[in-house]
Amino acid sequence: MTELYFKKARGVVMKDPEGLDELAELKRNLPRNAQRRMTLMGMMAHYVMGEESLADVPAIVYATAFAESRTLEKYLASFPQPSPMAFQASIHPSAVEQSLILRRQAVPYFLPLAGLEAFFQGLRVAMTLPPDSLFVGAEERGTWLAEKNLSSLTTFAWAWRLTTRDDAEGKLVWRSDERSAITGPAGTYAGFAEALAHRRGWSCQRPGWGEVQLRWS
Amino acid sequence: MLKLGAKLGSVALEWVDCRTPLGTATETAAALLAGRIALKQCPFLSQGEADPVPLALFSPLAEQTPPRVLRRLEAFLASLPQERWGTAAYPVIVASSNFGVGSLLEFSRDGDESHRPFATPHASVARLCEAAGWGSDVMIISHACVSAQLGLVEAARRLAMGAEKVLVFAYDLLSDFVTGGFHALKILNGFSPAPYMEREVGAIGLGDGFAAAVLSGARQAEWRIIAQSTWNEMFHMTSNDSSGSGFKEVLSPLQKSLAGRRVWLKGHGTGTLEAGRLEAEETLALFGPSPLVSWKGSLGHTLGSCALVELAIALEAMRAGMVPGTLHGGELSPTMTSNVATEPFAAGDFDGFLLLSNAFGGAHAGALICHD
Repeated sequence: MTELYFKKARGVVMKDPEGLDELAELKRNLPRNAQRRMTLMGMMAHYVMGEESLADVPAIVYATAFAESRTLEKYLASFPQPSPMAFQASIHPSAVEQSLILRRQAVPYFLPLAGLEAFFQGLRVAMTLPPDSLFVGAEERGTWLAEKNLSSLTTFAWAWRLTTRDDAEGKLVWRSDERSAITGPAGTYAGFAEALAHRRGWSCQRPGWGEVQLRWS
Repeated sequence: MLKLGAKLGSVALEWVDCRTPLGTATETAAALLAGRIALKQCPFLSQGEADPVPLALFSPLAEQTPPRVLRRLEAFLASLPQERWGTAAYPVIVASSNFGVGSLLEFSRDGDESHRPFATPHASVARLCEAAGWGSDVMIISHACVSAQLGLVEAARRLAMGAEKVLVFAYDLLSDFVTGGFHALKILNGFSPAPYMEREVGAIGLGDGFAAAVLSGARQAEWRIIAQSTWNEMFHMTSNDSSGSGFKEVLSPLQKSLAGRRVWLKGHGTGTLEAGRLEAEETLALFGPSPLVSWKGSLGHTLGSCALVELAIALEAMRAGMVPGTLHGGELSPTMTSNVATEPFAAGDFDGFLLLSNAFGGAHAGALICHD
């Protein structure tokens, strides 16, 4: 069993990615030009990474299966005159980069993971990283991409920092078990974001990885 | 600075190979030594009228079903050293910046369902895992043009956690999605790339490429990764801090790990002016006259696979005894700094080399690779 202690945990789930109230909350502390320039995933990542300084963060692990689905749709629609802005914003780790560039915050190590098992792959990397390393996850529901099962079906983001037992808000308890059942679709960790947002418990099993439980102190 | 190399320890490079439009690593190293340029002027889109740009391709750009290079990829995977890849003892790390995104663009254009099974990163990788017979312990990294180099870092981490061997596989294949994007950014233009050369207009070329490396914790090996370092400036999405801070941060730990070893430098050198000048100046400042080379003026930039492709070529060059100099297909012009090597040089004068990569967001990664 592995226990990963966390602090500064935040989560956001957008029931309606185009809903004005939810967007207003994301944009609340963003400069006006950033509100125009940033993608929805970029704003969500910025929101969950928090307003405090990230200067002491030695490493960031970012997990997303599909990345910038809505920006990807815009870029695909721009052919045969491809959009330079949509191209660079659709690059896989763009959401976290948008937030870090807005803060002008360098980071020594940045590991963007893709694929449906990125959440568990990130947890395994977490076991070897120093305190204050930051973990971010995000997905967004596309429009036609979602209909074709080529994007996430939910729009959410979460972030937490690795810490020690003494100042932890909670912990992730991971029991490896090759025989685990499936309790949710891989790569869609909206439930984790919701649990962090409302300080609720959560658990998830994946075959080959085992079970992870979210427990608050 | 998280000194990953020092933290993770040195690892053995047991096997490395690649495929480029010039052939295997051995064939590509020989072709570069002979001054061959793989880049050719091709329309930047496969459909309609499009400006010619320098591309190095395995086959014409038009997307097919199955994807145009899939059979070639599968044949390469069948040639890898056999282990129980994809298990906890023998994990696989797959790195790319584009995966099967060309199939996604084609699906959006014509709605042909046959493109859809390749259109997401996990689907593209799953197809390769199935073809190669790998298990499920497969990490997927996507950090633009430092993806493959991060694969080497994560391989060292898995070895430190107890894996016997790690397979790192990197692939990036061009499509209208990619060529259209770089053309829109105006850095893929009609000019041939000339890394580290004084010119008025910067330009890159793009190339197909894939490669694989097997790493282990073996005490004896012909080649070892002695140290690795990374840095992410986050100054701007497509340009570097003009102070060169990002280059200094990634190079300094590697310079401190030299311990008297003589090295040459395999730079990132895509052909853009600002980044090329910063890389040339900062390597000269920290490594003096150690030769700096880039082969992207011939092979083009193979994006997420470039570090592993160029690692395979560099090792072949060291074995063959001669290292190809910086190549380009344009007119002769002065180099940005005196450390840029434009002619081949003897490998025997060196104990090893640095492998350097950069990416969007001011991402930097470097590795020190030396004889055991």
